[in-house]
Amino acid sequence: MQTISKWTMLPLLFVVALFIISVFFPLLPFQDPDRIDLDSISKSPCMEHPFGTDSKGRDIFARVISGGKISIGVAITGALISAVIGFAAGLAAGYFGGTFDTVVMSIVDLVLSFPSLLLAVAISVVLPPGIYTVTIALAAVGWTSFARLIRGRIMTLKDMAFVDAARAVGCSDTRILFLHLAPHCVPLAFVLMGIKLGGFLITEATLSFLGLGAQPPTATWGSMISANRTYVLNAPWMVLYPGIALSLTALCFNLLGETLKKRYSVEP
Amino acid sequence: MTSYIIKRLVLLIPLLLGITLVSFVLLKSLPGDIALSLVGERASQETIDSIRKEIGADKDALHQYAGYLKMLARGDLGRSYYTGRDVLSDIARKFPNTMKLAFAAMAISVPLGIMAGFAAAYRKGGPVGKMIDALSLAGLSVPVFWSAIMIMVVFSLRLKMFPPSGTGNIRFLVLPACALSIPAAATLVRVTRTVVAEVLAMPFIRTATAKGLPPARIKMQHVLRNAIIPIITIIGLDFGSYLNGAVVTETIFGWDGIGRFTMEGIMKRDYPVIMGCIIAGTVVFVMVNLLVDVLYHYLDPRIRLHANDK
Repeated sequence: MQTISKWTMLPLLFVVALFIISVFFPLLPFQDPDRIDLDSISKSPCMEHPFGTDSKGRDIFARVISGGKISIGVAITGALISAVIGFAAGLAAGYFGGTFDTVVMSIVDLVLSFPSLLLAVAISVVLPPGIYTVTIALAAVGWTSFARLIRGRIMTLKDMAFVDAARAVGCSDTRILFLHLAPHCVPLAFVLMGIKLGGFLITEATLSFLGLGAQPPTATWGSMISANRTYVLNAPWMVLYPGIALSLTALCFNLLGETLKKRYSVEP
Repeated sequence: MTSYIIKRLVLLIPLLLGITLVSFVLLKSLPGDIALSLVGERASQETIDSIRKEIGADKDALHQYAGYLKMLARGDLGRSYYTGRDVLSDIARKFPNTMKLAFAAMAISVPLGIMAGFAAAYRKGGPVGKMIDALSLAGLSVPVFWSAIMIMVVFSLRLKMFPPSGTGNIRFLVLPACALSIPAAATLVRVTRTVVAEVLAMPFIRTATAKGLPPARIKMQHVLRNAIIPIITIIGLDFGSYLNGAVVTETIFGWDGIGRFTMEGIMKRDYPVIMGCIIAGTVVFVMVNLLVDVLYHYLDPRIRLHANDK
């Protein structure tokens, strides 16, 4: 086990801290992110409002911090669901092979051969807009890379001696699959989750930007940028700070992903 | 070679059948009555019925699908529910715009990405290499919709160097192309750096250096030739997805291309437009992939293309 460098720990700590603060935000002595104050509309950053206020007088600092909860939460949930679906599909496809494998892999190819954003947009339009829809859209596109990776790993694992040994002592297919093969793939799925988080975060924000994510007045980074777009010439802080928060978080996730990629030599 | 290309093009037919079937089923399973939303709630029953008949919604799903395929076989993608315009001619009109934007973005990202990637691989571990690494990771982390707005604010609204939005000549093209090229260049840098570093560690590079070849020649003929395949793959993938429309960039800069057209179609549930864009997009994507595969063969003759592969 190598020591973990500060370039992995610092970004990770930043994201975890941001997430915890945003979850417990209502309990902390900050301003209410949804409180409309018509006396202080479009104020530039000052002592009272460090990031300024938006066109309805809401404090942008409060909205940026509390928006982290949804943006990060949806990215992580989306990655988890993708991992579970992709894990199951890849496990079964790799182990049983044959027609099932062909069908699953054709679906994977079909999804991958399509611009993923458009697919996510299409799904978000079919279902009513909201954070659950965005999560589903992320998972519908995201499971494919997990399926591909896990399938590949299973294909190499299933020819190994310990699988033959397990079969020789009379283990059933289910037992081999769940107790002998699956545990070998769990760490791999977590590694891929870490690599994919940055991408999930950006896709979530893009869907929110297009108006398909969390609905007003709930603040997410993507929807704040979208809602304040029209004021950007006179009040650039309304768009600047949510964007910085979003980019910084994505950068932290990507730094984590880079480290994981290098250490476990996983190429998604 | 010819038989390989023909075989790949023939495979397009089942793919299109599958894609049209899946999208048809998905679109038909949407809640809500399209005829009702077209004419509004206060329309009389006769109007609704006539609209339903006009768009074929009075028949059952199987007949509708068969009808759509028949129309498709004639090379007709139908008419938009809202504008009544022919979908195919709309796509044909907007596609050149999307193509212009895609080429412009590639013209920035390809040279920039490859050169920076080479520099990072040659100066691995040094300050320049580390800086390029950090910059490319940052480029991947900044979402396009935000950088596009920021670019627009700085270069168009403040400095007034370029028009903020619209479709037209090269002055309109610069800003969206820059916004679009950032993530593409960042990906390309990372891929190029990794492959070039791998090639540089090969014994034949040491041999070439030892026998006194000039470094520039080693770079072009030994390194680039051996690193080109993954680089081309990434370029092909990006190009394919840009030709399908850069949804966000086209929307923000008001660029009249396929991406915005698709997005509007999806938002308004304009089924013929959505289906038309999906079909056109698939054809384009397959064509680009085919082109890349053929290019592989010319760039690296060790790769042979057989008609009976895959």
